[in-house]
Amino acid sequence: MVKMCRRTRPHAALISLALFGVFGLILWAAETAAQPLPVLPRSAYAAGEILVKYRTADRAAASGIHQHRWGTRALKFLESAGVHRIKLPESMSVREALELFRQDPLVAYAEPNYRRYLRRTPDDASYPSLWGLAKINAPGAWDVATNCGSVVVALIDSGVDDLHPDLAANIWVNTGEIAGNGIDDDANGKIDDTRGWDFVSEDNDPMDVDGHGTHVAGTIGAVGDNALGVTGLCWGAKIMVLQAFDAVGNATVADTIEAMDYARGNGARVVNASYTGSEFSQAEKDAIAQLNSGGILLVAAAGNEGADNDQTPSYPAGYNLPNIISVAASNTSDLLASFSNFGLTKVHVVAPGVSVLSTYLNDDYAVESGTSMATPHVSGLAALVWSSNPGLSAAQVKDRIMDCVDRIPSLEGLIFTAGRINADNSVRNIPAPPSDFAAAGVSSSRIDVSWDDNYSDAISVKIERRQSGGPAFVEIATVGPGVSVYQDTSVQAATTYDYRAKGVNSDNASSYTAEVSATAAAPPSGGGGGGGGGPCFITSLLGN
Amino acid sequence: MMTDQVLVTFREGTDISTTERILREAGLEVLKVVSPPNLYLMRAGSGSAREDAIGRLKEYPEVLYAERNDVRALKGDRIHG
Repeated sequence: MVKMCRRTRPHAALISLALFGVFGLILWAAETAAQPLPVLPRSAYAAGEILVKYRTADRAAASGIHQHRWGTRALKFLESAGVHRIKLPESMSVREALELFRQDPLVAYAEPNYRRYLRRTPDDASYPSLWGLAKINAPGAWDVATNCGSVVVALIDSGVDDLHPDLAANIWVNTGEIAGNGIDDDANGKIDDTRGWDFVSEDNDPMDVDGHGTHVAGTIGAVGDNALGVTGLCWGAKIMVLQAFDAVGNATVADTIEAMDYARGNGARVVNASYTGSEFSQAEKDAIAQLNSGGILLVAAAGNEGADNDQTPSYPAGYNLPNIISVAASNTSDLLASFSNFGLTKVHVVAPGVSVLSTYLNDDYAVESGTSMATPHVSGLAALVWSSNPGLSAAQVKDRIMDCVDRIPSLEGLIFTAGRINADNSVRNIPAPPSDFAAAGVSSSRIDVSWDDNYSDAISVKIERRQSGGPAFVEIATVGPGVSVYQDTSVQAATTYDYRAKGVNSDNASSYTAEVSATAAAPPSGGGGGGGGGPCFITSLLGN
Repeated sequence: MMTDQVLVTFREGTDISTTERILREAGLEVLKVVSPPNLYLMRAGSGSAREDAIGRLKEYPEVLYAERNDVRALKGDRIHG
């Protein structure tokens, strides 16, 4: 009797998967054709993962196939929706993953793992008019923090209407002073300075004499979610009112220095300086250097002359000090405001500064424009970042704000970061992609990849490459801080490559840059004299 | 925009009697000590009088620097209420 060999039977799951593949082919083609890939800001969904619904009941086998093929990994099965939460390998973006999964007949659908927010948008009556806060994605930041009260923001300005119902609760109170007793209880050189100081009249009542300071204060910290008026970046805040400017909006350097000294001596960590002057002052610079020694940030307006601050500096924004953030103004289209100063080295970021609604004198509200209005967006953001990350130094807060901007192409060459602040990304430490990313063939064996050097030391750049038309990008290099060119010498002659890059810090990676392509030159033409090989012919010795 | 005022910073460690002597010799009105102990605000007159005063003060080795007390201006414009 011939023994029948036991034939190896294919795994039952694979058979069923194949059958599902056939039947599903028609269905998925119709479905996926109707679903364009989303084009969304990276803060709209979680990085590094997607949600996948499989057609087959044997989901484990299906996810196992994908793990083997692409390196993805099933994290969790969400039973009510029947979807898998899939973790992506580090080299795969959400967009790439969606492209791959949606082409697979085993997949019913694949989508980003979208963020959902408590959406702590405040109920302030005029909140819909605050275009600037929406533009910088303040609502995303508010999911992390709304109260900046642990970070005192000193406002050197025309004073503040601290009785305004949308500000009163957020005015800093000097708890070292007993109000009205005529004694300098805390020995800081000022008597009864319970709510800041008026350096113009030298008294304890820094009531706004112009309106400018009240407006700036509202952007920093108008009381949020009180069903009234507007809100600031900080729903809860501690605004230290330091009146150094008179009723026509002028002060002298000496007045502002006194205010800075007060801020430093009374616990401020951020100083808002929505003012400028054209003259360099060593005394002013030294005072700001003292702030730096005290770990205090100074956020300064770039100026409203439409000028290049790299050519004609404005001060204090223009001092070369590590604790200064210089701010230009942008409009609703993310363009540099027509009046705003700029400067590739001296102006760091832009923030909304056109038609900004905020608090005003006599319990009122007003719309103002200027780099004065852009500056408190950054001061408020600094307070928000610092309050939710109290272990950071002033330099790290500044780096976060600058590293985590939204890159705006029209700002390249005008603003150091080419960026408009993004509150959500700053609070969560999600960096911007490298700006002005480019590639150029240099020789048959080299392509140079370059980008702007406008990151802090916290950021490295990961570079990926694929042969044009090839299947997948592969990481080819991680370049440390302070480097803005990578020489790719592993290229083949006369070959075109695609490149992309992302910025990476200790917490997160940015989205990818747009892809760029470059071609290595053709190999040098050979032939010509010399060299070995080939027959040797003896020509006539007669000289032909 | 210019003021008639001058800021004077004395070197670290300059004793008070030396500071007072220099200020007396400069013949300028002391308005205030802006940032104790070394930064003073003086009234010096306008134009050439102020520049002359700055020049005189700079001749003292105890003076770290002397400069105009310049103006700073707020950078916002009200559109409408």
